[in-house]
Amino acid sequence: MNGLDAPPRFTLAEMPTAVTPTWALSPALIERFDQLDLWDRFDELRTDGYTAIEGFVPHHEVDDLRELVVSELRSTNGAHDRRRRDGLYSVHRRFRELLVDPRQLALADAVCTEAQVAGQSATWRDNSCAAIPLHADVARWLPAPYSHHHMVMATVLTLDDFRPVGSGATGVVPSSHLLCADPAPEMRLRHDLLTRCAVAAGTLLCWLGTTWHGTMPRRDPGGRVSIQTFWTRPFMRPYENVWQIADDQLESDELRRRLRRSDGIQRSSDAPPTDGHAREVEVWRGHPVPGALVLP
Amino acid sequence: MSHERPLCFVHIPKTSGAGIRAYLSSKFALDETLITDSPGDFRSLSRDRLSEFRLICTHLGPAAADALPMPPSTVTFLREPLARSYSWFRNVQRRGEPDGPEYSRRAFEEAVDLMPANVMARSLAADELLPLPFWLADGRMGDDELFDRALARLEGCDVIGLVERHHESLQLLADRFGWAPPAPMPMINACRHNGAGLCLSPEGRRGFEERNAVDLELYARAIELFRRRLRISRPATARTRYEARVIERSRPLVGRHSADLGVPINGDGWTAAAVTEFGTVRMIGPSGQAHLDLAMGLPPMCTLDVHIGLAVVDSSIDSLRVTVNGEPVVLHRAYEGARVLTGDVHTPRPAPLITRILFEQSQSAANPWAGESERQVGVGIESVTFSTVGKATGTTHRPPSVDMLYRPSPPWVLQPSIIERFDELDLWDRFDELRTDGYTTIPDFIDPDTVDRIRSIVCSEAQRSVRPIEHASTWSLLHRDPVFVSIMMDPRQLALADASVGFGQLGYQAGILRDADCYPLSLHAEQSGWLPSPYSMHQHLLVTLLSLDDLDDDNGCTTFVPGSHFSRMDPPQGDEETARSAVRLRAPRGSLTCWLGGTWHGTHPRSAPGRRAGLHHIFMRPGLRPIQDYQHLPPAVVADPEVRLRLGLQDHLVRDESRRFESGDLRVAAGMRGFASEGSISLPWRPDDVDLDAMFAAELGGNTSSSGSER
Repeated sequence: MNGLDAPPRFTLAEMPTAVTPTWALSPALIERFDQLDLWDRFDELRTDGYTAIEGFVPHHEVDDLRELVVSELRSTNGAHDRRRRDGLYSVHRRFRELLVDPRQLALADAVCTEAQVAGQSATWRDNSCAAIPLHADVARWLPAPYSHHHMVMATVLTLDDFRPVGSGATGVVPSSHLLCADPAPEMRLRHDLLTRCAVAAGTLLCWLGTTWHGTMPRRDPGGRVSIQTFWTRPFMRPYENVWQIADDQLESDELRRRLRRSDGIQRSSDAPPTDGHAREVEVWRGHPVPGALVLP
Repeated sequence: MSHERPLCFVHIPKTSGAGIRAYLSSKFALDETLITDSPGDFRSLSRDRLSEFRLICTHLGPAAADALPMPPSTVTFLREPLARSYSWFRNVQRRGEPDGPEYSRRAFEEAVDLMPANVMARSLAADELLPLPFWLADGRMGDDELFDRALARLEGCDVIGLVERHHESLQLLADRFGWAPPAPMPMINACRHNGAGLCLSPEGRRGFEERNAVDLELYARAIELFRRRLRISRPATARTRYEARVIERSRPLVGRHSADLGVPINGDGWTAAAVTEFGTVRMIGPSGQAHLDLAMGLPPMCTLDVHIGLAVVDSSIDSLRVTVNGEPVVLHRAYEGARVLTGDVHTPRPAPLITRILFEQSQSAANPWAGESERQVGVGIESVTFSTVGKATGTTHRPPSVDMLYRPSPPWVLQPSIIERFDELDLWDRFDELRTDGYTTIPDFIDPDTVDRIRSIVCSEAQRSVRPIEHASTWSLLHRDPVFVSIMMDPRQLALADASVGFGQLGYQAGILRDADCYPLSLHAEQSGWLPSPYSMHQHLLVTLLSLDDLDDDNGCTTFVPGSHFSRMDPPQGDEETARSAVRLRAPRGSLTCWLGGTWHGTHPRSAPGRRAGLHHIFMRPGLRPIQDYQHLPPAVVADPEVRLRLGLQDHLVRDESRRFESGDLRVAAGMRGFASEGSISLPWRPDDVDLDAMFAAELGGNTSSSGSER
């Protein structure tokens, strides 16, 4: 019933096709990397699947930020537990400022091409929390095997020191993103495979959505506090309702764009089409623009 | 099977062969080494079996090398003929066998006339496998022919060694095969004598030289060849080449890296690998020193674990001394009797690109049961592991083994509920077309009255649309009339959507109007609006078109490239041949055409007057974002929980602080990940694929690097 013409068959070898490179850095992004001195961080992210920006939050601000997060965790209403607070950007301007830090945005854009926020959460982990098994974050969204294009980037802002032993540090399996797959069930508790991230408070850890990572159990007294942010390509759904924050709370166009307000994708009935929509789609999909740096 | 040329060591007796054999064996794995002196055993090996060996050490002569399936690199050692003969004489005497040859019971002066002559030349010139004792082999060959044939064979050897230039010969070997420059190695299996017995009378020496003239001439030519080759291979150059070869693969240590000593290693001073009940180990060779070169740069601080597989006496473990890049490492055992030694390694900056671990053991800890001439140090090392903690900066790290992978989700999973719906709705043929051709059509999807009703609304809404008339279409119509919700929720459409994308959520609904002025759409894959290509093997979109007018050549229609979804790519723009390959869809009004997000399609322009109308839906995998905003639809439209699920308004991805996990979430989550469940049917990507595992292996091709073990 597929029409009346007898369908001619292409063999795959005969089929002329077009592909999008896995990494394409636009000239604008190259300039941002230059300005922000991010090339080493990007190289680690691309090669090892993770990187860290030390001193992301100045030392003298870390304690205040931690206190702010803890107070939000304590005041959570109707939460499932008081160890996690989603939608952090909706409760305080300081958290929204963190979202639009140019270093974080530059790395996220390199990974997700016009990255947008999928969620921002505060987490508290103490010695009652179990270890988090090895996993890849993109498994929240897509089936494996994954595409060679990166759809998700995760960042964790540490507000306590991460030490190799006892602190409940996050660990990653370096270069595991190259497998484009999930760890096998029997591997998920192999925390011995992890390279533990030993970083000071105020560091931003970044990893790709396909990088295997997990969290060691905490043995030290007290809790460790961190802020986790997920970034996705524009056409991926956020994992929390980013539209819950009122428009007038979004102080900048950058913030509006990153929280999916002005990207022109999700339009209401009768909304006029966005100018240049097709061009934006090309950018979102990672098509290299003239002058782009294309990497394997 | 390795495609590297094997190495064949043509072992002429009493040419330091035992030491060379031990040296060569230390460079290969145990299971790829063949040591045999029996023609019968050698002949019993099939060609397939022979092809598995990379090192063959044999007294059987060059004929063994000729019999190998792949021409080998050959190595042989020669020795000054009189010294070689005397060594052989002493060896026979030392064995003292009652039925030994007559000459073994005489003085060497007398024995030289009775011993086999020109042994080196005969062993090189023989065309047959040489039975032991091979000096009984056919000796009818004349001296000239014998010399010519032996010399030809000698010149054909990749490496010619001389016992008198033992260390330089090892350097030639290492250089030729890219091994680590060798440390001085004691001779093993060597007869201890003071050389006094070599003092023949002038008559005796003359007689020896007459009988062994061919060997003497051959040895003289061997010296000439050796010198020539040595001039080409300078030790400093050889070391540089070796280090360059190792550095080429050098990577910074990230996480952990284990080097297994049971496999061929970069290093020197080791014995051949040996299988023990604790695993495959290597022992430190007779010099009491061995080193291992790892293609790896160390961070400023890391830990080293040395796994001991064998200790002749337990105290020999404690006597092991280890230095890493020249820095001593203090090793300790976690408990008495532990077979793992652990220590911290501090590496000054800049770290060398080759990490050299030197193992030393005092001779007092050597194997007390080994003969003096075969001294081995009493510790067998199974592996060494470097581990780092903390944020390691650097670059490449080998990805984990594929064994660690969770089996990926099959490209097509029909859950039991879908199977039931396909049965009830008679959709199996449609599904088969969809999977094979990338598109299918359900005729008479709705009745003519409903077609008229929908067409009327689409036309009136298009008049109100702010979109330009040349691309006349409406945006979502869900709130305009309940019929649009009914069409969206049609069980046939949803069944095909769920089969294609796990759980179909609406990403787009629009009415379209196209007349003769509308430009034809060029070929494209719908999911290019969401994702970059190459696409994964999982479908992410299902597109449907409800025809509100007949689709044919005159009215205009959609065109498809059948099977194009298998390419997982976008069509090339402006390629006329591809465009010509598209087939035009002919479908009567009221039919529903469905296609996958990866199927290449376009439009054939309308030539008839008037307009054709249609209603489009795009269903997406729930991980993707719709391009319409359904959050502001009137509550009455989205009152049904199933409608809310299909619109992505009620699932685990729209979490807020007050919302708990609900039953529908599980269906959405399972659809996102495409997991198979009990009773589900998993189908391969292409209808003619049968082996899902092979398909996944191909999908993961290029990522199958082994874990960090050193070869």
